[in-house]
Amino acid sequence: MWDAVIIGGGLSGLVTGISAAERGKRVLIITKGASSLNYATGALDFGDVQRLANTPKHPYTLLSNALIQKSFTYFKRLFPEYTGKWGQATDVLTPFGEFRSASLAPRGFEASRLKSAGRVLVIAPAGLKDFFPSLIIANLQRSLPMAVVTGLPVKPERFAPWLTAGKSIQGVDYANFWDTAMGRQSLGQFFGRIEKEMKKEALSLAVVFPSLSARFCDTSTAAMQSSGSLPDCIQAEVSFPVVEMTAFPPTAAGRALATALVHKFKDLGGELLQGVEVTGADMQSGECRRILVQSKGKTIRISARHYVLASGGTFSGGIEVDNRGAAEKVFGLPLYVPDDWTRTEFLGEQPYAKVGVEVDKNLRPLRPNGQVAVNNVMVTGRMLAHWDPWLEKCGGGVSLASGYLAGGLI
Amino acid sequence: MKNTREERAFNLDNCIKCGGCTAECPVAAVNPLFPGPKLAGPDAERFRLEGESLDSTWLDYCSNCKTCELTCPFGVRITDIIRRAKETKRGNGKAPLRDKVLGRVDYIGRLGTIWPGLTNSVLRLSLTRLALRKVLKFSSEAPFPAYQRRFVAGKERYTGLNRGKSGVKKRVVFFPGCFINYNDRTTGEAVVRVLEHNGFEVIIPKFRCCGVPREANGDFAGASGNARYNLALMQPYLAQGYPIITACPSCGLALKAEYPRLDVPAAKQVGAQTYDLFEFLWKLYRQGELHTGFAHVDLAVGYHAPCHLKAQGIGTPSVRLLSRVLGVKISELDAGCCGLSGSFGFKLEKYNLAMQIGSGLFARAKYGFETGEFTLVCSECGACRTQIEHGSGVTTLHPVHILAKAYGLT
Repeated sequence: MWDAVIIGGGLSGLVTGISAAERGKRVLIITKGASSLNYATGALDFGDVQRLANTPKHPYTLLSNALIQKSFTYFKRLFPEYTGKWGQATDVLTPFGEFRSASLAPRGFEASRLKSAGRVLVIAPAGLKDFFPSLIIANLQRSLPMAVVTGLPVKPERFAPWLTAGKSIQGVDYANFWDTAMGRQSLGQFFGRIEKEMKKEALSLAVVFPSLSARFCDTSTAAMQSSGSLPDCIQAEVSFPVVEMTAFPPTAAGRALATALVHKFKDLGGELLQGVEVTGADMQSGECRRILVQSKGKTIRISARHYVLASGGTFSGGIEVDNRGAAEKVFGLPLYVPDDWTRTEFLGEQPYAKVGVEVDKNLRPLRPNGQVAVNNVMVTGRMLAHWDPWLEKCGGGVSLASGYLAGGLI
Repeated sequence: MKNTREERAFNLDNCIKCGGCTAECPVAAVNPLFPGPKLAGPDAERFRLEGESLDSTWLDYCSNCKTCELTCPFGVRITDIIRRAKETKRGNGKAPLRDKVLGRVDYIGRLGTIWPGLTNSVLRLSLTRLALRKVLKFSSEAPFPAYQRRFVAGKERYTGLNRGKSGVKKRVVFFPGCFINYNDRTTGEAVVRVLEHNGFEVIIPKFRCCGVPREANGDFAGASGNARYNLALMQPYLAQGYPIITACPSCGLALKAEYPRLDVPAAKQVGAQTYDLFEFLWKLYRQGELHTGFAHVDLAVGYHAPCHLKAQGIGTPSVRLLSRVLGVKISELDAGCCGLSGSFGFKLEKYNLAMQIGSGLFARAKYGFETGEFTLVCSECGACRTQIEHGSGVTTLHPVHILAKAYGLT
C-alpha cells in the first residue's frame, strides 16, 4: 500500500509528493498529461498575502501566514536559482515586453535590472515561435523612455534547415539547443561580440533574451555538467545583465521547472504514472478505499493511506463543467458553485473562477453543512474553492502552500 | 481495426491546440521536416476529412513512440489519428521492399537463427552492410541486434519445470515476442524460471509476431492477420482466465491496446488479461503471493523506461519491485526516448535522426557508467537496449535477470 497517491502532476501535486517523499513516504503521482507547469511561465505569484489572508473563505485563511512563508522558503531551498524576497515583488517581463511583478522567479528573469540601462538590446532568435520583437521593443521603449531600445537578430546554424523548411522553432527547442555544448559555445561567441561592440558606446547595456532556460537545478542532469543553469553561467561571464523574458505556452522555463520537480521526486523514490486517467474511487463509510485508474486494457485499483486531489480544477479536467453544472470527477466531492457564473467584463471578476472544493484546516473536503466529506482525502491547489488566480495573482502561492501542507500531513 | 466515429469526434474535439505534444515530441525536436504531432495529427486530420491531404511525408516521420499521448492534457489519441492516416495513404499502394523486410521480424528471425553465428558474422561484414544500404536502404551503421539460438525452438509449447507436476494449479501464458525468440533467449528463459519459481506453469503457444513491426512498416492487413492468429491461439487460455504475460513493452502494448479493437471474441478479454511481467509480479507481491526470499544482490543499475511501457499506463513496476531487493540501487535515467523505435532507426534516412533523439539518453548512460553511479543499464525493451548499447557502449539487460539473480536462479 502506498503512503499517498496524488492525483495531478502540477505544482501542488509535485510539491506534495516531494515534501512527503523527503520524509521517507512512498508516494505515487498520477497525471493525465504533462505537468500544467509546462503551460506556466516559470515565475510564481503569491499575491497580496496579507490582504488575501483576510478575505473571507480564501484558501489563505486556512493556511497560516507562517506556513505560506515556509512554503516560499522551501521552494527557494529546492531551487537556489530562484530569486524573491518574502513580501516583496520581483519585476519580470511579459511575453509582450511589459513589466509585471512576480513573487518568485528564476534569477535570470529579474527585469528591474533593465531600469538603469541606457541601452537595451532585444535579441531576436530567427524563427522563434510566438515571439514578436517589434512589439516587445515598442513596449520596452515606452516603459524605459530614457533608454535606447533596439533589436538584434541571432540565427544559429543549427536551425537553418528549419527556416528553409518554413518550420517555426519552439522556445523549448531553442532553450535545449543553447544548453548543448555547441549552443553554449555559439552563445558565448555571440555575447563576446556584443560585449566588444558595445564597449564603443558610453551607454550602459542590458540584454533581453527569450527562451533560455532549458533546465533548473536538477539532481539527475545537473550533475552531468558541473556548471549551473545556462542563464546563471552566461551571467557569470558577461558584464551586462541578461534578462530572460517569460513566454507563451508551452514554455521552456515552465517545462524546465516541471522536469526538475519530477526528477527531485523520483530521486527521493517517488513514482510517476503519466498518461492515465483516474476514473473513480471506491468509498466506504467516509473513507476512500482505493481509486480506479484506467491503464491500457484494464482498470487498475490502487490503495493508499492518503489520497491527495491535486487535479487542477476546470482547466485540467479535475472539475467537469457542462450545461447541468459542475462536478468533481474522482471522488464526486461537493463543490462550491456560485449562483451566477459569469460577468460581462471579460478580464474582470468572473465568479466561475471560484468553483472548487471547500476544505477544513487539514485540507479535508467539506460538505455544505461543514462536516468532513471524506477523511483520508486532501484537496490542494486549483481544486480549492474561493480564489481567482487571474485577479488575485496568487496561483503559485496557493498551490505551493497547500501542497507543502498536504505533504507534511502525509 | 475499427475506429468509431465517436473516437474520431473525441480526438478532434478534445485537441485544444496547446502545442504541448509538439514541445515534447522527440522527432519534431530534431527533424525540420516533421511539423510535430499536433499538425500531423489533429490539425491535418480536419483537412483529410475534407479529402485534402497535406504533405504526406509527415506521416512517415512519426516513430509511434506515443510521447504525444502521454503529454496531451486532454487524452487525445494522436497516434491513432496518424496511424489511420498512414493506413489510408498506403491503401493498395506498394510498400518499399525494405519496409516489407523490416515488417517481417519473425521471418528474418527464423532465417537468422538457423545458424546464428554465421548470420551475425555476415551481418557484420562491411560488404553486407554496403549491399543492405544500396539495395534495401538500410543505414550502414544500423545497430542490428545479434541472433542467438531460438528461444522456442520446437513445435510444441515450452515444457517447463512445473509441467505435469502434481498440484500445480497456477498457469500463465507467456507471449515472448520476436526479440526474445530470436535475439534474446536468455531473457525468455529467465522469465520462465522466475514464473516457475513462483509456482506457475508457463505455457508458450507457437505465437506469431505480435504485428507491431508490420504495422510500423505499413502492412496494416498483415498486422491484423497476425493479431487474429495469435488471438485464436490465446482463446482457450483466455476463456480459462489465464493471464498473458509479456516481457516486451511493444508486444504488451499491442495486446493491451490494439488487439481489443479486433472483431473476434478473444479480443474482449485480451486487454484485461495481459500483463507486463513486472506488472504481474507486482500484483502478486501486493497480494502476498510473490516469493520474497530475495538474496542480497550488490548491483547499481541505471533504468530506462521504454516509451511503450510508459504508454501502457502502469508506471514503472520493475523499479518498484527491484528496489525491494536488498543491495540493488536503481537510478532512473529519465532522459527521453532512445530513438530507435523498433526499426525506425535502422532506415538510411532516419538513422541520424534516431541517434540525435537518443543523444540525451546516451550521454546520461555514459555519464552514469563513467562516474561509477551504475555498472549497467536495464530496460524492458530489446530495441531500446540495442540502441543504448550502440549509442553509449554501456552494457544493458532486461530487469528480469536481476530478479532471477535475487532468487538464485542464475
